[in-house]
Amino acid sequence: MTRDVLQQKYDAIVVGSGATGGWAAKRLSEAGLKVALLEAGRSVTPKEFTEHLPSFKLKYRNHSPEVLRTRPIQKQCYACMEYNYEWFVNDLENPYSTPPDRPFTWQRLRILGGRSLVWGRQSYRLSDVDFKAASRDGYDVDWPFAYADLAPFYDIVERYVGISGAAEKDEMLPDGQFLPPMKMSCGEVRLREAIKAKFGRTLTIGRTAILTQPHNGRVPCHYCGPCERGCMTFSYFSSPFTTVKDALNTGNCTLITDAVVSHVDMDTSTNKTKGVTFINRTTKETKQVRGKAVILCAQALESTRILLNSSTPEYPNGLANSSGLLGHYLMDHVVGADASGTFVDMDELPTANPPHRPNGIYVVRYRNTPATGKHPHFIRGYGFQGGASPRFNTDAPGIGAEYKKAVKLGTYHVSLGAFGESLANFDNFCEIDPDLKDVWGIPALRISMAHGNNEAALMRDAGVTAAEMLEAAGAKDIHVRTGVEMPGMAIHEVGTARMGNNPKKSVLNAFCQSHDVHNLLVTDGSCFVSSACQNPTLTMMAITVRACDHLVERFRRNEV
Amino acid sequence: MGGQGTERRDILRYIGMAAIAGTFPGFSKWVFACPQGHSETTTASQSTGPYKPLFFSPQHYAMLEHIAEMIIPEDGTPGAKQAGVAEFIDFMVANRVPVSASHDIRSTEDAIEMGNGAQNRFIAGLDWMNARCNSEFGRSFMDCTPDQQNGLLEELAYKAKFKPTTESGRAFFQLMREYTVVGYYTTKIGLESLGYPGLRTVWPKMPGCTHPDDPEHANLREPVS
Ligand SMILES: Cc1cc2nc3c(=O)[nH]c(=O)nc-3n(C[C@H](O)[C@H](O)[C@H](O)COP(=O)(O)OP(=O)(O)OC[C@H]3O[C@@H](n4cnc5c(N)ncnc54)[C@H](O)[C@@H]3O)c2cc1C
Ligand code: SF4
Repeated sequence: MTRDVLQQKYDAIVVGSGATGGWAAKRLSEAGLKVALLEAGRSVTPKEFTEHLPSFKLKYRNHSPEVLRTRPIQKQCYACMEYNYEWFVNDLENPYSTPPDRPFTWQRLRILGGRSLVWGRQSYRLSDVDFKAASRDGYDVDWPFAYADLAPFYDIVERYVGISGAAEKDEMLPDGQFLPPMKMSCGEVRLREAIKAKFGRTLTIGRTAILTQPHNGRVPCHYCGPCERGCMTFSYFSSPFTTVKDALNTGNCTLITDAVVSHVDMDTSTNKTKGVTFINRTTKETKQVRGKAVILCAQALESTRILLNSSTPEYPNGLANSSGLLGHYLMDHVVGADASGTFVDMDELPTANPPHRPNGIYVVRYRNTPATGKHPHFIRGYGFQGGASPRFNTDAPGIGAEYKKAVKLGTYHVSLGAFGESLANFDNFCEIDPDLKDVWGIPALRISMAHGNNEAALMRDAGVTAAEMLEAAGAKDIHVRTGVEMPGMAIHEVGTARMGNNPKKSVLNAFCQSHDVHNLLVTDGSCFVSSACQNPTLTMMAITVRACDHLVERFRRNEV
Repeated sequence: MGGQGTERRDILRYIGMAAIAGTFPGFSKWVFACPQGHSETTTASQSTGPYKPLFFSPQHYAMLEHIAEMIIPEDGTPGAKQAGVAEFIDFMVANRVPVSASHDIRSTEDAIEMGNGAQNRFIAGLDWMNARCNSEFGRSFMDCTPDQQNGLLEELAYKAKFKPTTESGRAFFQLMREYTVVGYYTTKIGLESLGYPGLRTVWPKMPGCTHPDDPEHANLREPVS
């Protein structure tokens, strides 16, 4: 790194290059701002993508014990495997703690692109039923903006990212700017029709950030299947090859990788941030970058950790924390309810041939909607992801030629798994653990979260209604789970620096700007007021674009 | 998206990974396809002569190979023996790697425990098989007739034939079957038994593909759409 890079004074410093940071860098640098993009991890190249590599070419055929040894927590994520585990943080170097009775699994990547490299790509809009949920049921507070305020930014993000999906005109799940949808399997069509007829519920093909036609210079998906191992044709959205690339192409953006940001630096005389301090990941040297505005996009918990580690005499409990709410209202969708079964009368055989559709189906929330009214046992709701297709039956009983045949014959499997809203609760929070540091010497988090009664009630109902829907479609051998998994399991953590109009009751304003420090923004999932039940990343990206456009306006008006 | 457990994992298969591509892609037999050898310790046994077990005694290894072939026999398509399943089991057990076919291992602690426990469980299980054969037929497993061997395995494999006295044998059989199934269906041989044609996508030439010269591309069909 040349001295120049660090000596320059930037307009904006963006921390984190994942789903949200990529957008911040793109949006700000395209508007003409000089941007420094700081990323804690290394860079990534398509050469390390392994989506076409057969598992037997791996030393342990995708069962590496190294994954368990160095990523005992990351391994709880289904996508962390021998192919790609080095993208995930090494848990031995990146510790955090939890109270023994309140476990939380924190799954994250530290590499250019962050979790956008491995994400599940499911992309759904929130609606006013979500943004104004509190007004409907009296729990907690509304978001400081309405669907109409965010809709244009959803449009911008979707048009650029490329979301394939089908319009359904369901008020719970606003339609977007879709590329052609992927096809449903016969079993999925059957399920869709059965639940529409019997319950009036909407099942749609997954809305996914995967191209089904050429789009913005990228080619469509070739249906090889295992996207979490990378995509050498960039057919699904990941930030390094889209937003970050665009940002760098403007000539206005300087990417600094291996820059582990420890804290935000304040100029106490002006009550503004003057930049950030980071530690080089490999050399462990401490460095500073200076800028007129700082935008944290390190993901919900990491951005909050940076702020908690940025205390000053003026802000003894963490920067931008005059409200005392920083770290609080941590949410993560509740999971643990699902139902699966078989369509015994469908004789389609499983096949080892691609194409493999890298996408599932989605059942739109039907509880506590304007149409279905108030549920007697819980507030808010849940949606389902799932799918139906024939699959090889390695679980068939027995041995010998008979077993081999049974494997090949397969079963037509169908399943639905719920993602439920996690209520915002002050008592779910993160704070700095005074006794724990990462290998760079940066104080680590203690995360304390548990799902409550409402989440448990949601999962009970979800399991039962999922089974009902499978039954209505004629599935047999139905298995149901109605549990509550450990928080973090949905990998949809949001909250901890909530937005709001009242500085006493929120950390950020409606444009993700700190109430306390006006040139400091947090635009990742930290800002969420409620979790809704839709996968959050599309909304995070739309919020980031909205916040960045607002910041650019403020730059134009010379307010920064 | 996320979550774990059998069902959760099933669901995620539809979403994030394709059922087969994610789990069982393969081009040729693992042991021979892996150029750097599958472990430093086995490089010697790679090129010449029969495989030298890393963990199992020659007697136990022969039993493993035999039982694996009984579970997945040659029947028009090659069986476990040709697919090198016993080598796979030996290598994984030697390295304390937990292996599971039907569901993903839930907690990391369980996984570590499973990997560590596998060595003892395999040895104890194979010894149990021998002891059982000795008491029933007066000789060790490998010396029994095919009918006797089959009879014993079926008692462990089929619910209808379960006996109260075979509980530990059944637990071993489960373990053995898991390792065998994974060991078989992760090879090219195993995949071909399911009709796997090699790498295929809906695009014969993928712009940006980093391995256009892969011989597997010969199998790619013309684009649909
Ligand atoms: C397996 C998996 C499946 C998922 N599926 C879906 C899905 O289907 N739909 C959906 O909406 N969401 C999904 N998610 C969640 C989604 O990935 C995240 O919501 C999204 O990536 C968050 O974006 P972000 O920019 O806040 O954080 P990230 O994308 O995680 O990026 C954060 C970046 O900040 C960097 N960083 C962190 N700390 C520092 C620091 N101190 N200094 C400098 N840089 C730092 C990291 O290295 C990283 O690059 C999934 C996640 C996973 C892991
Ligand atoms: S399935 Fe499609 S999006 Fe996924 S890695 Fe393959 S080509 Fe890329």
